[in-house]
Amino acid sequence: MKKILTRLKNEVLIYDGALGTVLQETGALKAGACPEELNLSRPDLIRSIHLDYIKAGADIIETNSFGGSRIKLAAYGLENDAERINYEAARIARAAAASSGAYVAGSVGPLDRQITPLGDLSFDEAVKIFEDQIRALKKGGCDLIILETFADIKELKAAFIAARHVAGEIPVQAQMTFEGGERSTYGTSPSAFAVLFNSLGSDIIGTNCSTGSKELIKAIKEIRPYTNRFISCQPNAGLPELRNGRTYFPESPKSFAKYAVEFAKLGVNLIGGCCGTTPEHINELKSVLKNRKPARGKYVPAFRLSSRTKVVELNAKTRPLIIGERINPTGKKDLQEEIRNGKTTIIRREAIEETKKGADILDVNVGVPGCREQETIVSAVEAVQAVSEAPISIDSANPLAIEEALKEVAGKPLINSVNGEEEKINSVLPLAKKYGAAILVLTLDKCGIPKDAKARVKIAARIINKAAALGIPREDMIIDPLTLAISAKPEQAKETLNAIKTLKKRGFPSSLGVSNVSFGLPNRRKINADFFSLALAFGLDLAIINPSDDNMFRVAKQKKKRKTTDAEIKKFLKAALSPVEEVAKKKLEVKPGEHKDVKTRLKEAVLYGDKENIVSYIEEALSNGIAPLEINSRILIPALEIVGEKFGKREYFLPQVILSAEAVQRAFGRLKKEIKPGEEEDKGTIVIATVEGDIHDIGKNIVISVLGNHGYKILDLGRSVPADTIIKEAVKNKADIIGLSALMTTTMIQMERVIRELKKKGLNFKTMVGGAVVTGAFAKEIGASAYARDAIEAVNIVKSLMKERR
Amino acid sequence: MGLVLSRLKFAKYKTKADKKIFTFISDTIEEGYSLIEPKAVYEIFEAAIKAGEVRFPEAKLVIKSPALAKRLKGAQKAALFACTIGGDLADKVNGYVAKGEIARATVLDAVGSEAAEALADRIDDAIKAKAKEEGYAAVARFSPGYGDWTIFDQAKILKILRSGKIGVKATKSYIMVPEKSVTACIGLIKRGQRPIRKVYEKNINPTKK
Repeated sequence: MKKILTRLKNEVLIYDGALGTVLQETGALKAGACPEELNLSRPDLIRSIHLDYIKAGADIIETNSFGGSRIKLAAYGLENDAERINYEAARIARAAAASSGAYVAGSVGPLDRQITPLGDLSFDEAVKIFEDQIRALKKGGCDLIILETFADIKELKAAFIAARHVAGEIPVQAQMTFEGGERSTYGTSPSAFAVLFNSLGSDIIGTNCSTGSKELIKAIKEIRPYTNRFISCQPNAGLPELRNGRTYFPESPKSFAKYAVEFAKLGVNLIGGCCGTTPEHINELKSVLKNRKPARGKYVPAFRLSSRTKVVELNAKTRPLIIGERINPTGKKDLQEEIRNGKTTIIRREAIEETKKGADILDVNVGVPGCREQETIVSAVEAVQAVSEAPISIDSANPLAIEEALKEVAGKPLINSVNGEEEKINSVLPLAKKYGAAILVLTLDKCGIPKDAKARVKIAARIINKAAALGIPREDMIIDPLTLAISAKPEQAKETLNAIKTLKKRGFPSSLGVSNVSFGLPNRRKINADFFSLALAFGLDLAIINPSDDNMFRVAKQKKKRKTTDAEIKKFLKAALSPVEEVAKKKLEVKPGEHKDVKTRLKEAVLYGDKENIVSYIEEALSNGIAPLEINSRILIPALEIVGEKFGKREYFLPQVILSAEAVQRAFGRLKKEIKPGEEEDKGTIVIATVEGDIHDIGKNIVISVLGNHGYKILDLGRSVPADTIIKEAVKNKADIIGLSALMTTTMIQMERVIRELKKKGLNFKTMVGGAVVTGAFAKEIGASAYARDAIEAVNIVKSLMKERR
Repeated sequence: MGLVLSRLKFAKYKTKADKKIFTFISDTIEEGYSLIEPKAVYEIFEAAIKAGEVRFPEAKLVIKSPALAKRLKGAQKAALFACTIGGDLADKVNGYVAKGEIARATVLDAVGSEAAEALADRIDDAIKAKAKEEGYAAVARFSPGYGDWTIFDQAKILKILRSGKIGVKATKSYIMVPEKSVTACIGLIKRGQRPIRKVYEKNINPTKK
């Protein structure tokens, strides 16, 4: 029998159709029963379906083991029979295929338990479970392994790595299912899938199930340009419909076969059916595809990376690609601290920020002395993937950490980096091969960085040859000829730039950490930008930079034409090394509205919550001779009242009210210095607390911030304050009003307790209650003096309560 | 953004806010994204519904709530879930309060609430999809605190789901920590047996050897 991959070069092969839906049809599969169990109890039935498909013309039949993983079988209490079930699945198919020469594909489906971070199964556990299943299938006799109907690309990656490990030389076929032919349930696009599995070295890449042939045409068209592997497609017989209470797959064999011809024209090499297809569909397929030569697809090799959802490709349009360098703890104390504490807040913030600025790839480096990088890099990669669609560059010197990160990545990453040291080459290149990653090559070795361009290119060539021997394609290699600081060795700039030129000529993309060039010099941003534009002219393809530097992006977009001559390099060096003292021309800031009268500006500052400028306006008003108390009562308080009215009319919403309150607070802070003790009017004291057991205090804080501007003395007791403490503090501070806040039904009863205690003790403080679940009726019931719906209402209530008190 | 705004009492045709406010809010939303670490856990149990109560025999849990029992009517199974956006956001909110930046704290808090709500919807969808696969239809979710279902049961649900592994605990006063966490129950009703129509009957003869 010819090997299947050899035959695929010249033939379009036919897969069989559905097994599951056909089994349900026979009635042998009871609702809720395990389809794979039939391998043990009804081998005759399974065999007869295989034979039906072979008779209909299938060149390949799939084993009845789609749900044969230990985890899926455990749902039926069959986990201990897993090995036997899979072994039998392959054996039955093998026996059925024996006389016809059909191939047997060992079918492996998803585990139904998700891998981290989507679920709690670890990558390694998943690999182990897939390995067990595939080992049993291989033992039973398979010509290839088909991994099908996967929705999570990371799970499929685990299955693929398991298959490669266990199945050895047996070809592997990887298939995802795309909703509407566009995205998998977890967001992976057909192109992102194709890029990763092309790199992983899947022999056949394809798609199955989904909503029907029409949609899968979209998926195939998207996969085609990103792979030179064989392509497979097994659609459903249309989208299942409910008719008279029965599930019905509407696509007839004729129309199914019509689409199959289109698939073949698009360059699909293996065509079969998924849910709802029958031997008749396959028979029809055979009749239209007989003796068909596979169409050749056009595949252009290029440097490509992918994330779970997106592909980034280096081409004339996208050049230069920007690698964001900010997720790197070198010289960043707060990030070091965060990594030590196992947190990822800054990492996530940087990832969001870099992506927003336009970084194409995010470099992730979490090397902090004294930390287990194998663990920190996994959580960092997870955090970055959760907030950004950009592919990842794994930046580590530790092969163990690199491997853990490679497992975590849900796409095709870049490994940063390998260099000419044998040890590095031997540890990093096999990882890139196994996990389908691209590699950044640093042109240095044990002897350091070679002085001239020629020697650097030589190191690169040596590494590229080693990679090629492992089967890593040359388009997956990026060469970094290294930038040195020109302040120390100005002549090095020339070597770096010439190395880029040579690499370009030989067809290798290059990358540089651009900002190194200006190390130790003043005016770094300008030098960096100048050098970057020169490097682009010499042919630079990727740049590792700080994406917040808008200058660099401008340079990247402009792609200014510059000469690539020694004279041009000299010009650059001269400009960089003889820096003109930059005269600090501080523009006098002219604030908008400066011409307006200070009273109007103060009022507007309150209305618009202008915290930044309000204090300077107060200074101005004071120097104009306006009395502090007048500023307060004639300008600030009336303005606050307008804010309150606007809120009442819903012209303002909550943040505006609070920002105004914050602005006034700053103004008061300044005014207080002017007001002499005694001059200040005693308007009353309020003690406010969130009741015991409740930790939600945002509402209470809003009330305090708004109320704080009306001249009352306010004591904030914080959250989860016991009744006794509240009362003690109220007595001690001679409070007029006690304000109580609670957010939960379980804690609002504490309000009642406070009021009851007050009554018991004969204390007649006024009480005001509020909070999400508190209502006017509840306030009345527990005997509170008042209920305030929101902060503005609280101001009015406090006013009237104070009146009652005094 | 829309959801966060309406949570902050933004009225579509009445509220007038300038660009500065919107920038402030969108910046805070972005900050919120970096502080969210969504985690969730769920499990599907057999459920027995009797007058006014729901029993989960496997979990040895009895929930007395006529409202929940009504909602779950006809269900054979029910999913319990807990989810959280983690504690970083609440820490940051408290940090802003301490610095007197109440406006930022308020907006960030609202972002957290919406994020927790959105996360609960996502888990909801995941459970619905899972249920559909297994031939069940899911009814709308119900949480402790809705209707007559006491929030004291939150702690029981957390315990059954061993929510410690996603970092969610209940305090003595039955408040969940981190604050922005959600527990809920979703009823699953077996859909009618719908055999697949034998469209291509003549081609399938399983008894043929």
